[in-house]
Amino acid sequence: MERPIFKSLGSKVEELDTPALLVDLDAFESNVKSVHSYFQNQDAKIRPFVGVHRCPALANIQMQYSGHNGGVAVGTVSQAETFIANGFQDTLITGKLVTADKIQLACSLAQRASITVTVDSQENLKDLSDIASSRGVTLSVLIEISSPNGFTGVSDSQYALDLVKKVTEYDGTDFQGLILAYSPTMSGIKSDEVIDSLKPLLDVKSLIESNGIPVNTVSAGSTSNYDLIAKVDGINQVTAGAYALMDVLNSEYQSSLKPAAMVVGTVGSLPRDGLIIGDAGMKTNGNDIGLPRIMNYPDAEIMYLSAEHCNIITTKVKTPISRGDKLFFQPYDVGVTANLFDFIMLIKDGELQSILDVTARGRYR
Amino acid sequence: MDHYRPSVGTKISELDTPCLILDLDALDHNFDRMSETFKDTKVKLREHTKNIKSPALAHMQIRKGGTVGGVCSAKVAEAEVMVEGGIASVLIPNQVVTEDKIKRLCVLAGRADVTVCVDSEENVRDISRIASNLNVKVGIAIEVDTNMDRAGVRSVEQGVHIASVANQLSGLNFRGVMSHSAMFGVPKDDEFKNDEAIKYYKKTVELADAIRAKGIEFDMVSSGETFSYDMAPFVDGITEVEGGMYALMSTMLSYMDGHFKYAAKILGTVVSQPKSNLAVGDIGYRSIASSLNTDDPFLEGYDEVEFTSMHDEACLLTSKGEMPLTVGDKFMLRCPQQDLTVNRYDNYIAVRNGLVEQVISIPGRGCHN
Repeated sequence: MERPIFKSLGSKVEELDTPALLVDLDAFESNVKSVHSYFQNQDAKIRPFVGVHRCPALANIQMQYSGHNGGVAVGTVSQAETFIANGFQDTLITGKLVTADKIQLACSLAQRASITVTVDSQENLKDLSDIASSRGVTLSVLIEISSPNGFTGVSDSQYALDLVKKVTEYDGTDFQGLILAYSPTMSGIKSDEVIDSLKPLLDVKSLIESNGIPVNTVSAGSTSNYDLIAKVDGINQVTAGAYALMDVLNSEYQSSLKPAAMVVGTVGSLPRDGLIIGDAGMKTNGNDIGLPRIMNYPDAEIMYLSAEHCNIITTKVKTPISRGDKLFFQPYDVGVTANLFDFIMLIKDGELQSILDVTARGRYR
Repeated sequence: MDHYRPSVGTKISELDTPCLILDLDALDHNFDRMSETFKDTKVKLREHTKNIKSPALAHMQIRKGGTVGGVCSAKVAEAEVMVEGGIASVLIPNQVVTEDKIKRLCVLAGRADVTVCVDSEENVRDISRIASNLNVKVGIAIEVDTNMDRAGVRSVEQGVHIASVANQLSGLNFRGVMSHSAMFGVPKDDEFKNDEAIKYYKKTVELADAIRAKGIEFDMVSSGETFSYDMAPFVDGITEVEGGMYALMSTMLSYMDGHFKYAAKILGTVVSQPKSNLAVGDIGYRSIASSLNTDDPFLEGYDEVEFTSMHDEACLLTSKGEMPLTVGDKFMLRCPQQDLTVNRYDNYIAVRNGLVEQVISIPGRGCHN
């Protein structure tokens, strides 16, 4: 477990023990307010994907801003367990639950909360139904429809319709609607490609409705495209997560949202001219798919990250840098970075306001 | 935090996933290999705990023999975990520069044999001042850069100067010299790898000799890593090797798999089969960890299946013909860089002969400070 030196509340960010994960409360609330107020004027509502930050305390702040549909989304059933234990009564689990252990846990959770699962196969649906009915609970089901850049989900609309019919027939499952399979945020995707990707989903919706079955929820989208998708007729739910904290990956699409999450490190060595070594490497920045951005020295350049070090070239930096100075990094993928820390240092006006638990960190199951 | 602790005797096929598997036979092999290499040599192993993050595993290697009886730890917090877990000697091959963290280091030095690495006079003076105030002695080693262009002194003169300062100040025990080297990419052959290893060892010894020539005595010349471990006995003057990745192994060191076995793996489950030749697994980069410098994980046991791509919470497996894996089946991935992976888990599910033998906590997880 992370073992930082806990500083007194009110300490300046520069005094914090490093590496640490910071969340700037004003930037966080500004992002949440901006995105949620957008949804206030749309038929579609946001269901915050809180599996990105894994922190119930942050999720509670998000839910204070209207524009959401009352629920949250997470990736795994063990994350759902954490959020339900922290009072979130309506939880969508986007990852597939295919083993008896996971389905049993979802059914236990369904005894005291509304659990929605995603399904793309008849065999899985049968397992969910059998276990849920034997436990005397009902799981809400979204049938997952494949997307052009995704990899799971149903691609045959007739198969989707058959699945929906089975959901309505079976005990223990309740047909809630459709969800577009997750597709990773990729650089350079155009607006019309985003809209086109929804077509299979909307076609299946029409097919099901033409068979007399109401489709209550039609879910799609992410931080990179929430503003485009929320306006599409027929979509009524967007599951976005990174918008609240933001990261380098999503800033290409949502440049007006503020960087609210930062990793702070300390310069530990200045071994030669033009090079500094910091204490925040891969284990704290998480460069699984991209490098972080140095926020306080925009002219500095990351040479490379190793597990516990960052090598930074400072030849273009005008201001002098000393041993002990702080480095602020914007994560490349905040979903990776938040999962590396047990604590979030919540900052307001440059001072430590409170320390939050990243309760669902490490909950991959 | 994840609290998954399956019962002893659970079959691997029945485990909940993704979880971190520790193959105990492979681990024993790797620990034995090190103890056999170093049991009769002057140079000994000082295992790096950044890779295992567990005092229990560190004790296993120490009990096997061939070690200095202590470990290396990347950070002060990790060193604390090791000392609390009963390890008596810790080298921190890293700089500790802030006032509060130096205090924390000094308190630890009051409880165990603790040495920290420095590359500046200013840092040495800070540590001396704080250690003297707290009435403890902190071990000091000079870090020398060999090939990483990372921390460490860049010249023998600079190293000798800092050593002379450290040797005279109160609150310090001057212990010697430390270096860390990297093999970037895959070496073209063993000869090249071994030549590189010897070159970096000699650079470290060069500084040690120059400091000794000034009449300063010390006992530690600490260097080396998994790729270079077996060359250390051939270089006079190296006292200890800081290998870490050997214990659990990574595909980035696949060129060392004649020496060490893959002991840490991530177990996953196939959750969807959208096409007959495609399986989607529940392991993504968030749960196995990747970096820009490493290749994809390696799928064990299925020659005809290719690991195609990895996403945040999923991976794709593609087969040439019929996919042998179906929904619900388990599969095992070797880690690209295992220290990043272990740092994302709270427990090892330790297995032997296909059954859970033990669940071992990872108290050093997240000890970045």
